[in-house]
Amino acid sequence: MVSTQKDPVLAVLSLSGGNDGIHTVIPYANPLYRDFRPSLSVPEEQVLKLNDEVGLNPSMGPLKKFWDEGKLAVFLGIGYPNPSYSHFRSMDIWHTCEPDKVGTEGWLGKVLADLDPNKENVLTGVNFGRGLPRALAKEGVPVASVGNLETYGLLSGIQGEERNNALDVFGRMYAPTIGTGYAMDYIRSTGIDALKGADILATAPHTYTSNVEYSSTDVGRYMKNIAQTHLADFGTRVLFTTSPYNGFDTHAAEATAHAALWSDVSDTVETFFADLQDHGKAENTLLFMFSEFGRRIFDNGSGTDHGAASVAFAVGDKVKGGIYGEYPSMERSDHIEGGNLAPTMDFRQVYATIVEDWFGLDPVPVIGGNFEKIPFL
Amino acid sequence: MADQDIALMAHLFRRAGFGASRDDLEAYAAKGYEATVEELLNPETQPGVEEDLMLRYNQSFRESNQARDQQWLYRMVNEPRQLQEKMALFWHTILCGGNTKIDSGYEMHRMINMFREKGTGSFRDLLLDLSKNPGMIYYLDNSESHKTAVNENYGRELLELFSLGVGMDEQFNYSEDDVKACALAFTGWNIAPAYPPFPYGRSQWQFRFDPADHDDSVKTFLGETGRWNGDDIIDIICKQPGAARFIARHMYDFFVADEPPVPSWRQTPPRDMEAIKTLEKAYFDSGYNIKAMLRALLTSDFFKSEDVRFAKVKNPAEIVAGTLRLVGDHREIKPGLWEIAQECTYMGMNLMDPPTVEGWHTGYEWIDSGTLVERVNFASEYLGQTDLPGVQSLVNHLMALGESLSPAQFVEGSIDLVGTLNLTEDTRQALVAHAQEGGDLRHGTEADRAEFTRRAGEMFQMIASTSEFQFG
Amino acid sequence: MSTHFFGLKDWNFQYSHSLGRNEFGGTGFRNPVDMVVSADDVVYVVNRSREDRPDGVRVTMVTLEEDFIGEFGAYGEGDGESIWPTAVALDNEGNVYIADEFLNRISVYTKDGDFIRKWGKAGSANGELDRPAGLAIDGQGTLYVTDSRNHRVQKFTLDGKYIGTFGSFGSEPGQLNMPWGITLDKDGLVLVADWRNDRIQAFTPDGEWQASFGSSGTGIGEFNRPNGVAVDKDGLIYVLDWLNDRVQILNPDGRFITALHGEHQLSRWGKDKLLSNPDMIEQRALAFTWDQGAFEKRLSDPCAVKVDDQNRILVLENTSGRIQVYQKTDTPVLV
Repeated sequence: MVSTQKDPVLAVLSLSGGNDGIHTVIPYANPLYRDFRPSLSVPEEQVLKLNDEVGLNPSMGPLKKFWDEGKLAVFLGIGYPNPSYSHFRSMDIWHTCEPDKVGTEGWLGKVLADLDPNKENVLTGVNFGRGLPRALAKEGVPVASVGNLETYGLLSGIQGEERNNALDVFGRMYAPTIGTGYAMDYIRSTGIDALKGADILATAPHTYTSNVEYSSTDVGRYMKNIAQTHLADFGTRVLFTTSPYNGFDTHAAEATAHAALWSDVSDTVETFFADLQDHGKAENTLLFMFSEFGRRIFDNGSGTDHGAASVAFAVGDKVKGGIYGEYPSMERSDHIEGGNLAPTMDFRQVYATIVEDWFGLDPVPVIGGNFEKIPFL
Repeated sequence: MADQDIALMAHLFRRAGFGASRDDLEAYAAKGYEATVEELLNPETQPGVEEDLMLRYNQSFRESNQARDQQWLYRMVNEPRQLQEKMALFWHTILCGGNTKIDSGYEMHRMINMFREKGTGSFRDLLLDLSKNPGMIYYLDNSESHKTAVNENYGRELLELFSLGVGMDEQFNYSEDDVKACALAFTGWNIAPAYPPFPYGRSQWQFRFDPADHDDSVKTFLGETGRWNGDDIIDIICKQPGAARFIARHMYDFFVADEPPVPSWRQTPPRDMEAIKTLEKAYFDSGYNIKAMLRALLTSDFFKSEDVRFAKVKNPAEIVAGTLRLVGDHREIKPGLWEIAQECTYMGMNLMDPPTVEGWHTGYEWIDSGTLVERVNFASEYLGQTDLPGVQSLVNHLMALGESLSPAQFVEGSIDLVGTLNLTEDTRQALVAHAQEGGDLRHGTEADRAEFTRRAGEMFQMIASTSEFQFG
Repeated sequence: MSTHFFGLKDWNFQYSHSLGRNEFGGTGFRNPVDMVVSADDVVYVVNRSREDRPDGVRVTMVTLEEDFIGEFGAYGEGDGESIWPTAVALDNEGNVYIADEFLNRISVYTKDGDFIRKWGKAGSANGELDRPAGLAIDGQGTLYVTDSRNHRVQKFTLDGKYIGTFGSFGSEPGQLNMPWGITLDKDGLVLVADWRNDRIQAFTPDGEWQASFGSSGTGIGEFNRPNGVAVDKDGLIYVLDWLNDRVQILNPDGRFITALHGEHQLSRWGKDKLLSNPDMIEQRALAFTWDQGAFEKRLSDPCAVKVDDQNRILVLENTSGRIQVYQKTDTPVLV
């Protein structure tokens, strides 16, 4: 596949666990906010104000800089109808765009199939982390799932020269064979594909040089891997990673936990874009950050429980910075089941915008319907 | 011990269990095939896994959602009643319920326990228990099915995916009217109100039959007319030739050789119609007894035949549990098994959470470039750890073959011990060529032993990374 | 509430209140396994959590009135960390001792949770440990450890010097099978939950066997894997009858008095949690109409029992992450 180097690239950071939207984009001017969050509200003077009504959590300083430069889009009230409060189910809905039935194909899997219909590049989509998120799943679409870029590939348990030796033997053992049936043929050709993909990916850390230092957290490590892969020009178009499983699930001791999480994410986003900027690769990169749901309006004495509408963010040079959508009403009468914010924006609106305006693809089959776009690109 | 006895025993344990160590295979071969099959079929004759110990070290096992695959993996590896555990997996891949929706560790465990306890009894009893299983009632929305507003989800899947299948011999097994009658008969089969997860954890759900919400009208189902309730429906289902065919074919697919996916069964005849007929006969002769079908299967020539050995692509649970059993790790309770249980998910099989009610796509569809990397790396990493007791035992067996082994003898011995007897000639040659680089192997001195051990571990790793190892 | 005739006294075990809820951090417990009450009413709760949530491994400090004080410890092998914490005890100065049955060591902290030292070596020789499961400290500074897979009790000084051992594998009087909880009465008698023998055994401090009570079963005075034992200043014995989900109360010679099955009412932290989750209030209310609150009252996988010098009995529950507190009172009996 011919890569022009300026093909649009999407990086997705999934904030696993249900990020507390109210504690992230704080409706500081709304008196109800303080009423409903007696144990958890941020004093007005500490809020990083975006306008007269809302501001970012104080731990998000670096993201505020992107805001000031007009490169941060903030999506308010994002969710979907009839919210699910189960991590698994809700994340599935975000991944498959199927709120009513169990879907098996991911929206990004479909994007990859459209971007590379002839499967010419085994690295069009790469996931960082073990196991493939359903967002990237689609039958016949190969997506590498990289637990550790430094050692990624087959026979990663073997060290040094021995491993090269072993991989040679592997290549010979997986050579096509005659008369052993379809399943064996298929497995062998899959093995050769895996070997090729790993060979290519393995070069990424070696060709990479950088002036920035990522944090040593999982988010820092995987965002660095995303930068390394993007900078290596493999023609990778979709890069996905997930913050540590259910880390944002702040049922208790939220004030400190949430601040630590966002300070890590914000610092990493800043480092990531500085890294890409240095290499002239920021321009064609869009970063999208979301979580499977928000949290309850009322705090529970030290944290918050699973909720509905939340916030999401897009960052990039091509992003039209600003606030999109309306903050859901905090009035009691407007709460939906469980004491939750009612969604005012469907996440599929943002997806539709990315699919059409970023990748230039038809969003309807990907998202499973017509959704009004959000003009942030 | 005749090698073919060991080979047959290994085949039996790959299919009717999660594999076995070399030492166990030798002990079972000495005991004899028929006696071993009877032991597998009668789990009550052996002590079960030590549940008190499991709970002592992991008290969270009683309710935890996330520990569900960890404790199941522990059982697969350590349950002496191997066929019972394998049957739990068999039914889980067919009578699918998933934690993504059910979201309760208790209920998932209860469902799997039901398969463990009822999985080799009468199919009628199993379907009845399944229809009263609170997790299943919730998973397939029977809790939303009311006399006045019927939800057909359970009624339909009971017929399509749990008992009959769409059709056989190019005929349909039921009509849309049968689905409606079935769904009506199960109205009122519901769950009592349960406690929410906060603040102290969910309560166990309870089945509740609500006569007021049950449609008691006269219904016609599969040609029979009456005031059918759910248990009548199950009685009628179990009488159908389609039910016998459905289970027979699933059993053949799971225990003998990969069949095409279920939706094609109406048009595509079974791979071995003779075998299917044998199982169907056992089903009716025994009054729908699963154990009778298993006995017919495991003692049949079509099961023991060389033609069906390694004719199945191993599922991820078989890879993970089988590898641990072979290398002898996690045979006692210690930390670290949760992470290993995630390997099944990385390989595409999130236990107790199938992608949909249709279950997993099996056979070669287990494998793509991502899952193949996981399978190869997992198995080869463990087979290379020569300090693990099972691997150590393989090395000792290999040394016992002679004071000096040529590369070819070394490769043959290793293949035999790992049990990957289906290696193609080209793969063997690649391995022999690799072994030749190191020359003959000896173990007379301390230094020779160390080198022998190192090379054996490396050879086991290479065997575990072959395409042939993916078959079981 | 249950009232029982015992000698010249009626003992009365009155449910008082509960503390806790399920949380991986802060105001709650997650799969707690043991606890201890200090002289100034601080409860130290050892949270084992589960493997997928190592962040839940910690010790929570909470007052008996359910005021959160703080937490310490974390998952890991470093100083002050634990992999499989299993038991807790306090010395005279209020220092906190935590046993880890995977790392086979004892870690010591100040009463505020600052790490002081650790000791312990894996093995089966004298002074070595194989899955230490229970801890008790006497007034003279002797630490008793149930060394579960060595099927014995070992005695150490508070800084880990080996003093002595007693018990061996078996089911004869004085023999042990995977002992778990351990406690000392006011005269120094050592009571051991002889887990797999389904009995409680009493020894002198030197390890001389004194008595055994209980046998396998679900009836009165029978146990199903008892894992904890406590004794109050009147000599009554409280047995955490683990797989029977109850606490049995025995008189000093082992005769059954009564059993506690749980009478839980919402804890303060539990109430906070519900108030922020109105849908769960509704679900809970519906469930109440079905079982009249039976599920929530009942002990749910109880795993430790302690009694303090004010005759307050604390029962820790693993699955529900809470403690039910009972008060023992006595009244003179008219004969």
